[in-house]
Amino acid sequence: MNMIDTKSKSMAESDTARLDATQADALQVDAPQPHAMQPRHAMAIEPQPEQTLAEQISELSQWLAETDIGLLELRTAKGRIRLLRNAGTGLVDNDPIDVDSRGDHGELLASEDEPTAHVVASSVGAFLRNHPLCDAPLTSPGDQVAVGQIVGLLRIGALLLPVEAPCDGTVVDCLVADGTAVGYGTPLFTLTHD
Amino acid sequence: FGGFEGRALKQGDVLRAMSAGTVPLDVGRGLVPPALTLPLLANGTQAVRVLPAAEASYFTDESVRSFYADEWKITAQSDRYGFRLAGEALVPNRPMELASHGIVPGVIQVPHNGQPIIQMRDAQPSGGYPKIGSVIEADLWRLGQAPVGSRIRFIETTWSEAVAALDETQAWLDECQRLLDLQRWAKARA
Repeated sequence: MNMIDTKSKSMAESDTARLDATQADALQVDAPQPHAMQPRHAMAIEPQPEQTLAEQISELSQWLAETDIGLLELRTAKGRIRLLRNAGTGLVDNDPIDVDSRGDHGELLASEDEPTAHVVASSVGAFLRNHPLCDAPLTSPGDQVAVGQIVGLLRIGALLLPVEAPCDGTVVDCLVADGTAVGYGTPLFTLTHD
Repeated sequence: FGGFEGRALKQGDVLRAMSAGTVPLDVGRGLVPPALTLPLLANGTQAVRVLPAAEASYFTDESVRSFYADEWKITAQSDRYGFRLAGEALVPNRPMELASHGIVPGVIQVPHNGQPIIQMRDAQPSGGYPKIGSVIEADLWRLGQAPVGSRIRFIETTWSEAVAALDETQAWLDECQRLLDLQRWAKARA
């Protein structure tokens, strides 16, 4: 067992602990996965009518600050927001907030026609671009991929989990170096939609 | 008779993993190959550990030395029944005729031509060739995964090391089971 193995094993355990936390359940982090938005969770973050968008984001930021979640991506019928933890301060900063918004009164609009998509980690683990017995990466920039295609792997101790493309598309960029320990929801690849 | 359509497997063959109507396996995850997690190499060659067997001392010192020092090729005459190896012939001190006796997977027999045979998972229950050693149970999987044509080496070991190796293999299996259970549990809750 090397260092990475040991580290990712303990990360796997802490991830389990986090799955137990109500906050983690309420804050859906893993957008492209089919389980990303369940009705029960949607209820937990349903904006109160009297809250403004700014108040809602502020509340989400506060929730996020109490967790070790690095990325919050929230999709509702009205649109999508992404909150990124500020790596420098360890606090959730208002600066990196990226809100897709075209409507009046701060309404969030859906952005289904966005030309790029991220492939994100569905678990903590060490990100692998190729199978341990293969030299060639599973995908490289420029490759066409189909929805569900395995584009990378996450290693948690002895376990290998597939990283699957969330849609048909073309790989633009690999965002994480091979062997890097990644968190739940860490963007791994950028894809363009076909 | 036997094999796939009466012949050995070749590239491109498609095998049916399950009979029709069975419930699909719970897939979608894999394991880091154990050869990477539990490597055992001698001078860069896949190795297996061996306990000396009853007739080990009947072979010349030179043969016993080369048995552990040389590489052995896994020949094409190898299957689940036994692996036939090729290398420098092992020579007994004097001709040996043994009565048939019980043997188990892992036993390394040396027939008259001096080229060893390792009994594998479907080992025959008895044999009469002299035994130079026995591959420890904890390393039989390493042999099972060694391709025909590849080379292996033998490392002499002791009873206590063999038992410890079995514990190590079991610990790896237990850890895999724990991670798989954890992952299934997390997936079921997602």
